[in-house]
Amino acid sequence: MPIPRFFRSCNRAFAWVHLRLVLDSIPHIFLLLFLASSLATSGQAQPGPPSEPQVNAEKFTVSGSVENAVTGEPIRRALVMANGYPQRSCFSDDSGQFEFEGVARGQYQITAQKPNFRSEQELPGHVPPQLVEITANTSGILVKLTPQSTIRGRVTDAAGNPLEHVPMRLTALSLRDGRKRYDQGGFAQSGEDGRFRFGNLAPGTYYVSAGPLTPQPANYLISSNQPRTGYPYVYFPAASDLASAAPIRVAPGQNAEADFTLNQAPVYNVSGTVAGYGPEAGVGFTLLSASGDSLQVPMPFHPESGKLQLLGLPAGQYILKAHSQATREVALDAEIQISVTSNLEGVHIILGPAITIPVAVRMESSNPQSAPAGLPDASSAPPVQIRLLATKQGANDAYSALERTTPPYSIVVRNLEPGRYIAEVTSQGTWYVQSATYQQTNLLAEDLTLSSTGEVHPIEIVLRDDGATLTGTVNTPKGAPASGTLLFFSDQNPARPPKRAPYYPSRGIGGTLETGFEVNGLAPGEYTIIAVDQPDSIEYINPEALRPYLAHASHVTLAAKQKAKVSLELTRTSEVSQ
Amino acid sequence: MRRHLLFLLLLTATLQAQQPAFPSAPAAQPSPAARGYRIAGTVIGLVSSQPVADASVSITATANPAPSITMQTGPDGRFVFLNVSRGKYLLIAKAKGYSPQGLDEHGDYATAVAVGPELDAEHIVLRLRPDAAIEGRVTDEHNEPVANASVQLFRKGMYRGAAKIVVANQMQTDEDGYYHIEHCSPGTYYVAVSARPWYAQNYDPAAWKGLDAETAVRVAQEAKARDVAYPLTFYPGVEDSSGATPINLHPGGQFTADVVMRAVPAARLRIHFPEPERKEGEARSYPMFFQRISQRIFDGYLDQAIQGQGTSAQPGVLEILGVAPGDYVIQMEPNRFNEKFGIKPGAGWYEEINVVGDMDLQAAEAPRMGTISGAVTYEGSSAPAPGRTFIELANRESGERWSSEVDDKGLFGIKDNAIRPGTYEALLSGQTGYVIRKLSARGAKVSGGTIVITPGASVQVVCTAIRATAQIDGTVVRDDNPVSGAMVVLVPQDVVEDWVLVRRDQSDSDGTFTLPNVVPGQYTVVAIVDGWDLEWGKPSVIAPYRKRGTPVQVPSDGKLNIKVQALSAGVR
Repeated sequence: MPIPRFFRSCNRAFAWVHLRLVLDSIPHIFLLLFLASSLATSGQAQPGPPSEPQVNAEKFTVSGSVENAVTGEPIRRALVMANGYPQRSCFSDDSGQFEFEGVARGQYQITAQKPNFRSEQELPGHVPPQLVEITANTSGILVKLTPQSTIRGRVTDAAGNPLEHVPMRLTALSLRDGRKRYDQGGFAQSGEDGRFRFGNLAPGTYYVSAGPLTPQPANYLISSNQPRTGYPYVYFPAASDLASAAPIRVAPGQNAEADFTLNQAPVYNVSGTVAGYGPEAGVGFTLLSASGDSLQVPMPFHPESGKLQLLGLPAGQYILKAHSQATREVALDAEIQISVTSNLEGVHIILGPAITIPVAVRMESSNPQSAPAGLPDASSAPPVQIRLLATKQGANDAYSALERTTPPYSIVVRNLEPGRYIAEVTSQGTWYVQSATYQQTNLLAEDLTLSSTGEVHPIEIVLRDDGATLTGTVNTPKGAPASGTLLFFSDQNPARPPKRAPYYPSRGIGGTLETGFEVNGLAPGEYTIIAVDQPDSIEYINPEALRPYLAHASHVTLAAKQKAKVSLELTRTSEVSQ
Repeated sequence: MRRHLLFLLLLTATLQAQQPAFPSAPAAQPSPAARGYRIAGTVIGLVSSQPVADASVSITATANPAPSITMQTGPDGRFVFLNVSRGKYLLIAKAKGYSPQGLDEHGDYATAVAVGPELDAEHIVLRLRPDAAIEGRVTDEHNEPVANASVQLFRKGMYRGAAKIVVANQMQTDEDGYYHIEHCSPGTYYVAVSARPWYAQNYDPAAWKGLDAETAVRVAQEAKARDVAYPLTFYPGVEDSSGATPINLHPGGQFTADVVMRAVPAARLRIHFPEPERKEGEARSYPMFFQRISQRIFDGYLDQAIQGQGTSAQPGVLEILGVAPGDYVIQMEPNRFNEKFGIKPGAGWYEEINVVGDMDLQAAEAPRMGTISGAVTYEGSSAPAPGRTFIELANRESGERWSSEVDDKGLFGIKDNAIRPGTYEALLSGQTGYVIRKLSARGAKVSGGTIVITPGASVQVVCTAIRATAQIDGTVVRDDNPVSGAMVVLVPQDVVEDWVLVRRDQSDSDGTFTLPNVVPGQYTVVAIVDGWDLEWGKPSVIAPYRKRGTPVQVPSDGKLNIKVQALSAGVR
């Protein structure tokens, strides 16, 4: 029987992650046991070869329709795909109907595409596509597509005259790594009639800002000494920063309006010098508003003399960032705050190497026999990854990297900007993170604060391999997706990124769908565990936001090497009211 | 007066932006002795014939690179600049709905305002042509919008005294297939659209194995329905540029040009490369080429269709997928990583192909590109001014240009970018006082300032530049009265062959003009009134005017001052 591609790929990825770790660190007997148990828990039957000929196989007709998820109207000319082996495709007709003839028995994912529409997989939440088991002629398959949304509006001056060439920015609110992030969602420019438009948007929460704009001069003599005027940047509807801006919530298919009235204000020029970059290297500059949105103003720079100008800035607080490259690996950067109240001269910005933090990993094995495989000088790199999640809007996250990819391994986190970070330390395989510290800071419980002037110390991590193992099942209501994510919140360290583990569907006796999991390498301690379908839709860093999701949580206390079992209820994130 | 509008605008913007407290600008601030001159007039809309209020009007002295002075018109459209010193000024106005325009602007030229004793600079009427706009919707054959289609706007204009169609603007359709191009100057336009069907996917017959015959046929049929491309399509829906309908945009006008794209089966081009020699034990590797696939439209202009690295289907074969049927010039330039294969610069090749279906091309059999290197010598003993100098090879027909910097020994080489065979003009840039008058070449035929590069040619050329420092000043008159706004052309003996000798100007408000950087020799100066549509670059068109023009013998380094009779367009 051909295996649907979705199942195959998931299972493969699952096995691969474990295999790699296991091969590196565990005697082979464990490997075999593990593989066996992994297959047993997932209950996946051995897939037949995908290229198995389908000669004389029974053929069926599969039909259905594509409709607008908001209006229920049929969608014509949608490309409908039946993803199995092979992939089939056709277009829906004028009444939204589609039909595949000669479809072989098997499981198929039925999806549809159409410009200006999003499938459920493309919407935030990324619902997996529906799986259809074809064992007979099948009709009435419904594929829903969500229409795109737009935000549009008009920019005028105080007298109501349209303003042209106003730079417009779209900021999209998203949840990532359990926290709110404000992402650059697009740029536009107002046209001759002052109109602008951001199209093809997913439903969600957005912010729109306009300006700054310094129009070509008019009605004054160049020799005059008056400050010039322009239009400061404004967040919709008339806020000076993101925090006080009005969010624009866009429903599927909605055309939201955001009109701006810009008032003239004096604008100023800032000049200064840049130093600390190589003669051959270029320097890039980013001007950010105090809210971390990048602004477009002319910034002429002469690399030979190091002279930099920022032209036409309205009064306000800004962050100017400079970036260059000392070598291929070593980035140079600098960041200064600029407070503009008049023309400003003599600003100095000196580039220096970005902060690089070494990571020292100690691996403590509970089993002396496995020590050779577990020590840092062994033939595999330490199974740990660090992500430093910037808490400031506009700052970049940083990731650990192997500096030496052959023994002795060394791990570093490169190109960090000064600021405050949430550390997410992930270990692999049977190893768990016993501790992660930066000087006195416990990174498993507290934020890491880096200053531009401070001395750099290593992040010290201790990994152990006597973790607990938790097995269990997730009870999934009918109609809910059969795979999802387990989130393990440490009760000792609240408001930190949880450990994540996936769970997958398995076919139980009699063909009923069950889900099971086995998570090993859990640090001893107390946990609050939830099983969710869309982990990325939870702002879990915020205890207030997390609380409603904990109604079906399980609490476990795990000791070293303990094997425990737990049964969980699926929490459908879309059903949690906040 | 030659206008250099863009430069002036930039200069103005830069000066104003960078120096808010500009030091007392000597050229703009008249000396006390010269006080009293004024530049005044009215800005009027060309179509409405009504005064334009709130127009931004600037004057810039032509003699000194001085900052502009800007003011705004009142409700009556009037402007007055006081205390202007004697001289000539470019007058430029812009307003809402009107792009910046000089006084009586035509192409690169405008009429400068002359200020001085007995000159009237106070009754100027500056007629602004309102901007036009062109918009439309691009849909497919199923009446569905084509998003992100590239809409090219071509404009018919006068270039070197002949009508030519060149790209004027380019933009993308939005997600509903709409495009809108604002601030178009009135004129004749063409619209061309290129796009890829959103559902297109190149068919790979090897993707599914082991299918039964019936399923294989179905899968192939479905895949072929998606292996499609849109041909480059001209408004109102033709694939051949010669059938494109011209769009006449009137001042202030708005034109809607909807275009329907029709998907056709896409072709795949397979380019076979000979395997390079390799040492024992060395891995098989194949040269990498940068491909450029263009379509020839509008009398030879090469419009880029596909660009980038091809995908390697198997060793020694590059595949270019999703090509709509049509005529193409395919051009492959070896990249720098090829040196290890022993591929010399110049190993690039090109081929003109007519694609009707899948095609195999043999790289080894295609015509080779050429390379060129050489030297620039300056006739006479005087050395050119210091500064960066470039040699530019321009293909008049296709618009292709290659340029190379001339080093301080006078040497240049265009090696890495192999040159497609054809006829090129050698132009010198960065040295305004010199023009290339003579070429001598090994490996190519030369004639005057042009060079013919044949397939595979490795050309060495010596370009002889001669001084062009003479100047002709003059006045356009009719019945002894100065005529402003006339087109002035310095016509050499052979207007086509000696193109580098041609000079142009437009007479200013006092009828005067200046033709700088003239090469000594025999010429005719003609002044034509309202001859903006004349294709005077064609010998037969200019001949009757030349007969009535003013012959001049320009001595070396000479300065002439002449009078030229104004001729009306339509002389036979």
